[in-house]
Amino acid sequence: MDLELTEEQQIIRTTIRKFAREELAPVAEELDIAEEFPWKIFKRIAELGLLGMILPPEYGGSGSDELSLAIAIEEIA
Amino acid sequence: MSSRWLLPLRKLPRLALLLLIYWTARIQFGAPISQYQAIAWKVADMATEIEAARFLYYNAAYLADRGKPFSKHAAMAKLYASELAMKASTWGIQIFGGYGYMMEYPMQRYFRDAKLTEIYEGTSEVQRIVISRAVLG
Repeated sequence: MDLELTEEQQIIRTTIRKFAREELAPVAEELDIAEEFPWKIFKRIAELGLLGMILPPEYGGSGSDELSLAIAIEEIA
Repeated sequence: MSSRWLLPLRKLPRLALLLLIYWTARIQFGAPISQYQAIAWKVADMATEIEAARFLYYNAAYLADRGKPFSKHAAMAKLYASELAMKASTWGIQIFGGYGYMMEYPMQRYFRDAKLTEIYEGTSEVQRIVISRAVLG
């Protein structure tokens, strides 16, 4: 079992971490209080290709592996 | 599209929430934490368990990526991370004291989110059914 992340997985981690810090963290609390679904952010997440990450490209996904998805969601948290 | 692809997706947010709780605790108590050993040791315990939860999930994802059976591993990761999220956030509320309970402070949200992880997308009881069936055959 190889515990090193691939270059692609490292890029995903860096990109998502930046996105979460700059665009999610500042508004998270007010969104919870407002009880509104953040469509704007949802569209940004779609632009980043996160919604269909592990779906195959022929269905419009990015064809990433499960581990990349795990890393991406961990960073969003 | 088989549900094989969706299974680990459902397991993911628990670990995510768990980490969120951990970082909050760390930021809130960053400076004074080393002065109180009762708190410092608890942080060490939580950090250790979070690392264990992360690798449970990584392992499930690793198996899934190689087309190997992973239901048991995914269920274990989900169960462990969810219950750890509850442990960590319950402890977090205690450390915050009254502020932990108040809506004006973030701790109550982490606690609510943590409790939800034991319920949605397969309750902890369901995970135990999956694990016990895999173990007992």
